Amino acid sequence: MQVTCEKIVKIYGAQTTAVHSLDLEIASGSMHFLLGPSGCGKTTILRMLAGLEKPSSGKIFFDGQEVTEKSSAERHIGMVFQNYALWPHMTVWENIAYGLKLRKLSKEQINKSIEDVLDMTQLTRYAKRFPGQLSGGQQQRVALARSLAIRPGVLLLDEPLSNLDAKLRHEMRENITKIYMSTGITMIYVTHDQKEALSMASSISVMHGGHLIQTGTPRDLYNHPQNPFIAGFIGDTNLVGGTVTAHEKTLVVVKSSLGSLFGRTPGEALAPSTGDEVVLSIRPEAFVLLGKDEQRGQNTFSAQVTRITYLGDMEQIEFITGDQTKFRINLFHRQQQEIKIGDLCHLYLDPRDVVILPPQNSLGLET
Amino acid sequence: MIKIPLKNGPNSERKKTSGLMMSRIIGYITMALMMALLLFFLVIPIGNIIVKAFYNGEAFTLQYFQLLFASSLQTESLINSLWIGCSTVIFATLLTVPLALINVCYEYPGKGLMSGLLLVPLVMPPFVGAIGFQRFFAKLGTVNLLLLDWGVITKPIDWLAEANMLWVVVILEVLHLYPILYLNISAALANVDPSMEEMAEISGAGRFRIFKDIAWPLARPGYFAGVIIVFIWAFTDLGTPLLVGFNETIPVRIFNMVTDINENPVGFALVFVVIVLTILLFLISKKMLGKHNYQMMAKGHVTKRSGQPHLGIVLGIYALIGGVVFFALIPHISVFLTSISGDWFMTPLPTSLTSEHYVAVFNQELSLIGIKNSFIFAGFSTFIDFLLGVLIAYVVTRKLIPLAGWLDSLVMIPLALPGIVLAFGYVVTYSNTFLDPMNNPVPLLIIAYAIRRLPYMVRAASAGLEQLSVSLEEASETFGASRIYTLRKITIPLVTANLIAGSLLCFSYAMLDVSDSLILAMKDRFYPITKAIYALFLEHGTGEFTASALGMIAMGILSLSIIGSSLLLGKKMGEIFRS
Amino acid sequence: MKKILLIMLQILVSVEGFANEKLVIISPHRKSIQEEFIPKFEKYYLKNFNKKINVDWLDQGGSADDIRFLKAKYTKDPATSGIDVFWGGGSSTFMELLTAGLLVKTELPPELLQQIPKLVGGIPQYDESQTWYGTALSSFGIFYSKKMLRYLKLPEPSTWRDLGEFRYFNNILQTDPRRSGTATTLNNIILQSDGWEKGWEKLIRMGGNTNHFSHSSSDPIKGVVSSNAPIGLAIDFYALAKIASVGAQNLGFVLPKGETILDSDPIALLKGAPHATSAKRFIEWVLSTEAQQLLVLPKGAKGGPTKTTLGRMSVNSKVYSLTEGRRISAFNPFLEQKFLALDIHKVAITNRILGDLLGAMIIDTHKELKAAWKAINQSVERPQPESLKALAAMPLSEKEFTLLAAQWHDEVLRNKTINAWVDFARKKYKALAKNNSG
Repeated sequence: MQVTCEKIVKIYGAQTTAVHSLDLEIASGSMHFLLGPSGCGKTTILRMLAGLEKPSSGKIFFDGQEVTEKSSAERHIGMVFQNYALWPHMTVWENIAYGLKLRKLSKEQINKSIEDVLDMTQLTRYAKRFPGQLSGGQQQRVALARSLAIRPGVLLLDEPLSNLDAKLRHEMRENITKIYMSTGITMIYVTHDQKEALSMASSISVMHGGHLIQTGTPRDLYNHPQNPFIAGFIGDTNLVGGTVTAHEKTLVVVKSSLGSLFGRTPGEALAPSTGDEVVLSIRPEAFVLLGKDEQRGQNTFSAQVTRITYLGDMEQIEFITGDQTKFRINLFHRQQQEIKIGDLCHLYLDPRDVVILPPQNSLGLET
Repeated sequence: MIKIPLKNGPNSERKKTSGLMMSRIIGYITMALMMALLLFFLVIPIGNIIVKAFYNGEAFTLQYFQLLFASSLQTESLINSLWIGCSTVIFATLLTVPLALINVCYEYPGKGLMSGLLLVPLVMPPFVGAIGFQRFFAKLGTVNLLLLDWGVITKPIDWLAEANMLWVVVILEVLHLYPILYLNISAALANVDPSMEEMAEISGAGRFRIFKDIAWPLARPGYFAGVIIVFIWAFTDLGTPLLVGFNETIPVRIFNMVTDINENPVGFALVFVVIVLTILLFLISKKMLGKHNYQMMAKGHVTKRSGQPHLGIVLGIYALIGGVVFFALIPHISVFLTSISGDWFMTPLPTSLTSEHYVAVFNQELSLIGIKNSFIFAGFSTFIDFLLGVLIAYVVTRKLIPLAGWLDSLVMIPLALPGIVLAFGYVVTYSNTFLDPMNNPVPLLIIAYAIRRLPYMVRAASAGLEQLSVSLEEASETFGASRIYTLRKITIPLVTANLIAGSLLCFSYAMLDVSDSLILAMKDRFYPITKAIYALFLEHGTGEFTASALGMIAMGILSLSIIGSSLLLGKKMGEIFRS
Repeated sequence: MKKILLIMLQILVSVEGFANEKLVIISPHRKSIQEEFIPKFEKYYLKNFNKKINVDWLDQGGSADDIRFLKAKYTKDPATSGIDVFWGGGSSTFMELLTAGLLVKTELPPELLQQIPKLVGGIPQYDESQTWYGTALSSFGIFYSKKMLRYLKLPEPSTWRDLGEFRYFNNILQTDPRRSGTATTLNNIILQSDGWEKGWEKLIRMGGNTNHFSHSSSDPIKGVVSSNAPIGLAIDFYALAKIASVGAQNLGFVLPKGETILDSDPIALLKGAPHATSAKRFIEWVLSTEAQQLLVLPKGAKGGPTKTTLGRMSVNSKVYSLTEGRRISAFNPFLEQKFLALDIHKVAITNRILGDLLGAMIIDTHKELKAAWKAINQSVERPQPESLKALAAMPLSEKEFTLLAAQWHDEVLRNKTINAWVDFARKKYKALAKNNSG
């Protein structure tokens, strides 16, 4: 089911604006993530989609049909709450059967549906148990099974894995992905965990302070962040301030504390003019450590090593430049020389890895 | 008096061990004191009285029980009382569920005040209630005269006819006891995780189904806890049937048989039966609740959506609550009218008003002594209830001693016990000792007040402690704190709201105590306010007017404190009646 | 914490006066009696014996509570209760105390004894054992609301027999005789003067007309004042005080002519009284003309009460001549000869069993009695004599009653018998209601 939000605003009380005019289109059959730090408004959006809250203004469409004024029940959705919201006075079976019974299905149909979802979530042998008798992971699966049983048009998941330990969380990610693959159901998934989002999503919307910052595939967001917030939120990055000095073909020259660097802008729309203040986002793995006499011409600079952390598969090295700017690089295969703290090293950056972004405050966000 | 140890510094190892030892010893002593207090001021005095049910002057006998059940009068009364208990529960439920739903679902202007007002009927006018009540519902009383004047009826209705009495008692009980159920249901509904209901909404359930399938089953344990208190209360309440003159109930039968000029041992057998019934009911309800008490799992971060209703609904809410409170306050209103009436004879309302009864109250030395004494007695007894209640609830909920459940039942006995039996038990037990009430009744009065209200405090404290995770206490103990130190520093602060609510109840009911005061406060300088009211009430001529005025003052003080604490505590008030 | 403990201690250790003489009185009397008598006695004591005296006045509620308290005291220590004087509660209360052996003899000075006749209109003023002496007289009569009777178009009643007429059905308020000494005396007197069968018929008919039996002897008066019923049986001084406050145009009180009932309100020295001397002085003073005037004079009169008009009858014949023309009521019981006599020794024996029998026949089966009484009167134009006779049928004769009274301390027998009586009464009333309906 395609889900569309049109200029959704949600205001609580007199002052608190939880969601600022939000436009969003979620393709049918996608696993869409709403990602953002806590308090960014993502759960509010989910609850508006579920019909648990009414938007202050704006419209919501499911498959092109407006549902803004419709009740939850009429929207035919499924939802998995952060705390699962399993009814403790009903058995697993009864929990799952509840929504089906409300749909006035025949007994056979109900039984069949329940057996299917129990099977899908490997819960068949727990059907007669009460939620209080199940482990956290099992409860999570019950919550999932319960929402799936009614074959909803869209499944809303509100931080479903946040109460699980790391190992279970991993397993459950796979489970959910598997279910997504086999059912093809549209899922909207709220989380603050970027790894969860990157590993599972077909598309992600990053939110911050009630604003939708950027929507795209995980790869898009990682490679082409449109502002320093995204760059910092998705994956690890070094943010360095600078000023645009020139444009050369598609590349932009920025004068920064790492020297004058060639870089690219993430999109035409965001191209800065000469003299603009910008922020450079450089992923730690983008730096190339040059040998003593190695020369690459432009986009090279030197800095002093301040700290080395050995992590097995890679090394993390922290540098400081002459004007006290700090940055960090990840080194996967150290081929050449020994590096010690205090060494002065030469580094090279491919212009494609230097992403030129507008300064943070250009979004009007409080950082 | 119980003292809680003060210091347990984990500074040095040696000091720590000795400190631990010390506080452990103090813990045992406290526990022994608590048990001794219960033994000497509950078990022994009751035993001294109840023994009459088993002793025929020469030997042990069970014949009185045979006679009791052979008597058609007693069995009929038993059925009436059970019927009153059940009907009270049913009607109170029908009344309170909508009120509680409104409380949980809507945020409307003046909500705090309205919730407070709903609780005021908990304060019943002592003695004087009967007068005002009769004024209103007499054959040619206010209500009938008005109805005759308006032409609604042509012949006076005999409201208090024998055939109506049972229902009059039930209505009065409902109007008096609904606040308990109301508090319980609101608290229980408020405690239901909102996401449980939202999930049902998403599943396609309508408002009513959500309530029926989800909210109600989850709130039911809280409701049942209230029901059991309301049932026991209505079942054993003496004041109300006495007020309307309905003699065919168990409490009145007992009262008659044990206070008549010729007391009858069958009355004591009946007391015993009621105690046993109460304990049984309590244990059964505890068992049932224990089975179905769903520990709420991690609560969602979503707060309850309380709607802001539009004006029409708000006015409806005001009308409903106003109506309920008005009916519940009819006895109070009539007492007020009596207290300001100059002439009032066979007219719907007083024909002239006066403030002279209030002047008379303040000219009476007795009323000032009464107010002062009541504050002192009720204050100290509440303090004792606080200490004892917390300790007992702690020992019971944490199962620190064997047979903790029995201790829990034991402290419920005062709820079932006619006040007069306990008070007279004290007289029998402590005559000619240093506690003889003839010399100075203050210690026994305070203890009697405390023991009789102990159930409220224990229930309030238990409710708080049961919701409190043990791990918080264990965390404290891993730092080397003793149990008592933990109780004082961690546990009590976390259940403060429950304790305040419980204390408030203990205080209110102690201020309104009748039976202990009548029997134990024998000299006028020890009179509490209720006995002062009683003494004024019996004066011929205008006694009942002065008594009504003093009664109004007493109720005023209490209502203010109840509304005040309800505003202060909000929904936490409801937790006090959990069992 | 320490502060609280200190306050606690202060309250616990109330400071008693030093070296003063003491007197401990237990009494069901109201506050006003205490307020009028005690300060004046203290003054009198200081003047005549040159010593201060502290009087402890113990109030436990009604006389039944006081008796129970005393019995508990004597069970603990048979020698003494720590209380000196029991004052007030009706002659039956004192016969009960006497039977229980809790009273001791007090000899009055002959000149005082002379002023107190042994009998007033057939009612003993003191027992021949000289343990108790009446200190005041009260009569029992019919209190009624003129306004309500007019509204209901009923005549004002003037005799006990009137109250047995069906037109007063549901219009009479009474006190449960098991809870009121005065009500017991009324029943005793009616039974003694009318005889067993006629007496019971009268009582049962009155019971059938009764709206409600209340717990306290002051309730019927309150019920009449609040217009719950037009008629209540009441003690004279209480009724008169109410009339004084509400107005004679609204309320009335009548002592049935020729069958007025008097009861004395005695005082007695208790066994093992710790302050026997001062107690004896108190008893003598209460009977003296000085104290007795307080009962009959209006508030503020010379030698009269200071705060409240007590409005009672004195037992001291001299008081009447001393106060002639100044009393609030001109009534002098010593000049009236129309009272019903009472054999108090018979009362002492049958008091307990009578309460239970009244309970079973009239009060605890009141609902059934009313239904039967109503059915009988409404079935035909005039009630059938056989039905009326059946209504008054008793489960036992007077002779059996007296025999049973001697065994009434046996609680098992007592309760078995009560159960049988109740069943008898119910069966009787139900059958009557059924046979006379339709």
